[in-house]
Amino acid sequence: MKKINRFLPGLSLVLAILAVGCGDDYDNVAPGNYVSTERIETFPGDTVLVTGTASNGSAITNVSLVCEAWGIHKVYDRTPYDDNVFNYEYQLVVPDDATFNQTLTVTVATENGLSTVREIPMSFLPDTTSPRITSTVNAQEGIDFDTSAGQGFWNMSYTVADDRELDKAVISVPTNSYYQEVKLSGRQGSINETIEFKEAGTHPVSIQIYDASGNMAQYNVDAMVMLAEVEDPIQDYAGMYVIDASENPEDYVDGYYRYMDRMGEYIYQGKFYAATDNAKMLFTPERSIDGDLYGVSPYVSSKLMNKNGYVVPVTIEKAGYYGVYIDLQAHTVSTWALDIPADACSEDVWLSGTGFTFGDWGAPAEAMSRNGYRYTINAELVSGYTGDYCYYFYTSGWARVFRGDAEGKWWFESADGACVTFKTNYSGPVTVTFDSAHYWGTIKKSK
Amino acid sequence: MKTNIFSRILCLVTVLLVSSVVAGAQITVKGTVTDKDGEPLMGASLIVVGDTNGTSTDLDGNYTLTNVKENAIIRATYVGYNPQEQKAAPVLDFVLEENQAVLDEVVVVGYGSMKKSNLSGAVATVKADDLPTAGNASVGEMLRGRAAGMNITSSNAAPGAAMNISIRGGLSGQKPLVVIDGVPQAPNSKVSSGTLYGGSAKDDSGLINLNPNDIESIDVLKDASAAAIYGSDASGGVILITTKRGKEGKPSISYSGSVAISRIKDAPDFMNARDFMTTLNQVYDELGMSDQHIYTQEQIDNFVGDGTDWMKEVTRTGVVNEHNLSITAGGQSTRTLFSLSYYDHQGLAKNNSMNRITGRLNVDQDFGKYVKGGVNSSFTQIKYKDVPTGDSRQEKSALLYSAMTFIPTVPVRDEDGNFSSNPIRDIYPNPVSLLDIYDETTSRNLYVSGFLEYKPWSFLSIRATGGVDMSWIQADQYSPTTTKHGFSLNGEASKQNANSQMNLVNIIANFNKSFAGKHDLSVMGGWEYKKQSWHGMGIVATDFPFDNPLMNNIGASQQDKPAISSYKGSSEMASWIGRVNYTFLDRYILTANLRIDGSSNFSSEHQWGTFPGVSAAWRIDQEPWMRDLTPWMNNLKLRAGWGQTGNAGSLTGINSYYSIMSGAWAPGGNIVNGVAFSKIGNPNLKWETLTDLNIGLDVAFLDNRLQMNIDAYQRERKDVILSKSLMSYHEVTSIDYNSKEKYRSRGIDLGIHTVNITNRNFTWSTDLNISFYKNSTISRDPDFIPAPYQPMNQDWGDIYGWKTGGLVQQGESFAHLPSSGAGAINYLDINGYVLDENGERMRDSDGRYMLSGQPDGLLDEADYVVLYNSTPIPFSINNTFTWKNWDANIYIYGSLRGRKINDVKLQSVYGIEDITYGINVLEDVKNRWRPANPEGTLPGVAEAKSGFDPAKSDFFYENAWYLRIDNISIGYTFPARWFNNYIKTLRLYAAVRNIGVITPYKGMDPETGNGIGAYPNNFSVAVGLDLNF
Repeated sequence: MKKINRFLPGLSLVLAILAVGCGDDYDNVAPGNYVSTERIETFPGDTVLVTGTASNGSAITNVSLVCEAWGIHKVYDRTPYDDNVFNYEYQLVVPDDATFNQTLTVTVATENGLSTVREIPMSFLPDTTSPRITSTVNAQEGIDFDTSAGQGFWNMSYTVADDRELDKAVISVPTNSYYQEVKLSGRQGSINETIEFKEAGTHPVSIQIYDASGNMAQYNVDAMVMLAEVEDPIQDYAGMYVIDASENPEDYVDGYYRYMDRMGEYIYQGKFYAATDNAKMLFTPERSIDGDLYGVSPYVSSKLMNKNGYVVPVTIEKAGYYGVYIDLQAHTVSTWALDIPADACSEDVWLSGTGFTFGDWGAPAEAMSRNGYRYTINAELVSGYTGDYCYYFYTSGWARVFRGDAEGKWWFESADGACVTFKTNYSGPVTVTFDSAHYWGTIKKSK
Repeated sequence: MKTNIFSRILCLVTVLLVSSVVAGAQITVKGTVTDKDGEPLMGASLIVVGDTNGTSTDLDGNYTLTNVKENAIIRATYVGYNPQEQKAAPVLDFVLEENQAVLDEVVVVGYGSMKKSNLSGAVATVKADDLPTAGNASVGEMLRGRAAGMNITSSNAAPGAAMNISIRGGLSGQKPLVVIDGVPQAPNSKVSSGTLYGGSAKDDSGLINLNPNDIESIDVLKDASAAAIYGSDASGGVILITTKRGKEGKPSISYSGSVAISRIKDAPDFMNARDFMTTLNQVYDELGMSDQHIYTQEQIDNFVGDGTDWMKEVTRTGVVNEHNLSITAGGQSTRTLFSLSYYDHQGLAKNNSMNRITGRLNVDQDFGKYVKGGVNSSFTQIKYKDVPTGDSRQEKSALLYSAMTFIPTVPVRDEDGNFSSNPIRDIYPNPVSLLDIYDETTSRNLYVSGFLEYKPWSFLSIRATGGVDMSWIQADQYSPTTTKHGFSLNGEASKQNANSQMNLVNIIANFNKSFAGKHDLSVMGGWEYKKQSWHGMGIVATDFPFDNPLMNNIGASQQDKPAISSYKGSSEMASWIGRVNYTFLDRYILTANLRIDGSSNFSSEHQWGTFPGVSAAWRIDQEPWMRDLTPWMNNLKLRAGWGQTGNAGSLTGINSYYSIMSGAWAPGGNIVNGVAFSKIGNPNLKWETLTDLNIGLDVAFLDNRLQMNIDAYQRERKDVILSKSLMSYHEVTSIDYNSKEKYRSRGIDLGIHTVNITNRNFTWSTDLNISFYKNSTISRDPDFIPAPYQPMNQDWGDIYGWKTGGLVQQGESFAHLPSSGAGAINYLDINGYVLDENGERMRDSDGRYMLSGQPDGLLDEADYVVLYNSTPIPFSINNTFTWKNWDANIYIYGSLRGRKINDVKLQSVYGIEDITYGINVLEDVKNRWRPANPEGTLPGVAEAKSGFDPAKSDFFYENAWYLRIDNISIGYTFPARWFNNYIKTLRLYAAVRNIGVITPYKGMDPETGNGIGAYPNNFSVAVGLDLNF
């Protein structure tokens, strides 16, 4: 009888309450006034984030933060909202001429007429923070050395910042007898210098940034001055492929070349699965590694270039899924880790297709194994099959079907549509893989 | 053969006549039978009580009975009139009085009606007067528990929410056919918003379009011997609704109105802000992440109050307003009923409402002596204002789920007046922001049917009926940028419409005649044609410059390719219909139905389905020997029936066809829409068949103060239309086929009506309905491979899963639970597979993996057992009291059996970790296992890492039988003389609805509370009045 509504007693109680007037548990309770900091240490010109929470069973009417000496008088009028809790984040700006050892008074008032006051002392904070370079500082910088002119140039460009006041930057290249001071001011600044090198080789460069309080930060960069690398002619290809350089394309029946979409002139983007740490990848415009082949300079690991037999693969340190972005003209390659999509399939997946020995049905579930979102299925290609081979993957009851377009460039999830179609002279056992995190299928010979 | 039967009957009559002559002096009795106005009653029956001698009146009401014993008693009977008995005399006239009670016993049986006493099938009747008076949107809601064998449940308590009506276990998987005034109703079109957000599922049965006040009576054809007359439409049973009609006499005006106020009932308890902060820190400790505490102790200590009560912010007191006006008038040749109704339900969730306006015009017109006609028409407009519902709190956020789980330590609006966000993980929308979603669905339904009846003789009528049922649904939605989802899309608008129409025409001939006062013959035959068509379109667009126009200026979208869809379809069915009802001596009843349906969904070879039904009844109480033995018995009727109905599944066409598929192709790299094979036709596909057997007994004792109906039945469904996966890489991966699977339902329906007390001032009557049934699969497809735990013949109510043994305690470890630490659920390893010499699992003759019966150190499907049976045992008890002018009603319904997962508690498993995302959790979570609380009965943080789904075990299943006190009402009818008879009746009443539920279930609600975000059930108080001028 737990849920029996005690209607009549309840009604009586309601009437009784109405008769004696409405009461409230929080009529005599002062509001909660939490301020995230008990003390503020700051300096002139600083911005301090003051956060806190006002709370009560009685509605909050206003929250005020006051420091008359600094001209601070912030009031949050919460009357229209009828809230029982209020979180604030106040950006307190310290005047440039501020005098210290002041008090910030935080007052919370509620509808029941009660209020709670917190006093937060504010004192001066000496500057102990070093300035910093805010743009990317590479450990190595590649510089082309012009042998005919006998010189090479580095157009150095950095942005710098300090939380209070910058002073100067000092750049020195001992091996090149180069020393330069650059005057800085304000909280942000930039360094734009051209350094001339007369000799090829590795030149250690020191960059020191000072703030007005004398705090210093030092950065060291190796200037790699080397003979200019000449790459093969590049083209604005319709698409590119990313390949796992540690694998042999001859071992694959399908799926070795993973298509990259053209994102703009000379720019391509795709996905790559690094099966192991320090995985290697290269890029080709065709499904062949005998023509144009893009990798990075053996001397500058960040320089993308086209020179088959010269370039080395791009190394990805940690195994996992990566987005890959290449710009053939800018000679850059960038990678970033991809998350596992929320809808990534982790159920049992079956393989179906034509030209396999399992006939017109799916490969048996026992043939499938899974590691994370990587499915591996052992199957066999029929000997003497003359038609087009094709394959796709599906979950139980075709609840989810994963297909590729006929050319095998794009994989997608769709109940209906095309399948990856390919031709091969190979027959015999194969290992078929499917990646359900970032859809891709491969067929690899296994004999 | 026929001659042979007649000759036998002739012999029998001769023998009886001879016997009677031998028995004593005999006379011939002549006379007339008239009504009180002197009008002759043609076809009235006259029988000699205790004898087989009888006759019937001619066109002028005259009769002649020969060979009647001098002191014999002669009884005159006529449908709708009180029977009358007189002592035999040479001239004996009868003046019969109309009897309303007897008229009520006429039951609608499909394409006609018959006396209840002549029924041989399983038919339940519900009178409009028996239904609750206030606060119901749908007739379906009012019918809950009113007829044995009809189980009506709702998984949702939102205004106008869908009802699940199943008759006798719902074996067919189809909804009951609703027939209003003889015209089957097309189900309302459904329309989906096409966006993330959808309101609660709406009642699409057609019942929602009805004004309950327009209903005269409801008859439910439960078995196929009765329902076969509706053939393939009747596999889910048939609900026949008869609306009120105009009556001859002075105009009568009726008004009824009520107001009900409702409040939330049984919402789950979530933590207040302080408990939330404390528990959040505790959970971080239990996860070994103490360094990630979100709140400092000072912060917690300084918090005063409970924080934001999000449920309070998104809910309100619900109000239901209902007003009905009905006018009837009629002369000798024209009778009219006109009614209007207004129903408005402001739901418990803010911005959630249902508003319905209905109008009805029923006209009956006599065109001379032999021809009459009539029109039944109704118009309904329903406007739903929806809020997102469901069990999601992220992208597809539902209002109530979000309100229950949103972080309680933030206000509704931040310091800038914008909706606050979850500071720990800003992916959950502010619950109040979801109220900004505009979501309105307008449904309009126009139903018109007309008939013309030609009755050249009293015993023959030919009626032609034509009807059209049209519905238009328009669903509009806009998610503004003030919502998280709307912000991500820069506003999202959706406009969808769905239109449907059903046209029907039939011609039915009825022959009713009594022969020799002993043979009542009723023959019905006819033809019917029905066409259903539907079409609709929709658009969903995003990226709007500003929110104000909502979805009303969809051209302002800056989206490149808004999603546009449209569709159209139709299906047709033609039917031949026939029924014969023969009653001999008012005791022996035989009814045969036949319907032949042809559907465009099947190939020409299998287009026609024949659905016969036969039933017989024996009114034992009418046997002379029985009357002598049991004079206290008023009715004892034994019934038996067999019949078949059909089912075309959810087919929409037989032919292979192509259609546009979105995202089906990727030529050139971009996934695009293309034409693809959409359906493969199966020319061998044929009708599903459901075969019913029914045996029933109707009993009444003690001046009908104790009445009981009991039916035992069996229903089998075969040639089940299923979808089979194709053995290929085809674009279409499935095809419809007739499976070898067979399903069976067996059950018992029991209805008892008692008049407990009756005297001049006080009456108390009780109705009890209860049903038992069991649905099971009794045959499988040849290629079916059962799961290791699964029998070939399976009870549909069985729940399979792992048994559990409490929680894993500290120091315990189990090989089959490798990832389960202390506090995780202790699932039991009780079985394993039989392996061959290669370590491969062995199969039995059914293809099922064989089980060893011994634990194997693994937790998998081998460990599944039957945990419970969840088949409900629906029942209801209705008590009605009258004392002088007072009346009262107490109505209780429920189910004597039920097993259900406590979703609210189950959520606590995930809630423990979810709290680290700033998700509020149940108070119950405090009782979780943790090192400091090893006595905790709910799983601790370790369960989420166990890798097993607790919903597949018995851990969160609870006993969910329930008894709902649905209605308690009291009314007073003022004497007409108080108003100098200007007012015929004035009744005031008050009612409380859903007062309480008696149940061991600790979740939200054993009936409606599915999922943690279920629309909360409500308790309501209503007052109303009924007024007749």
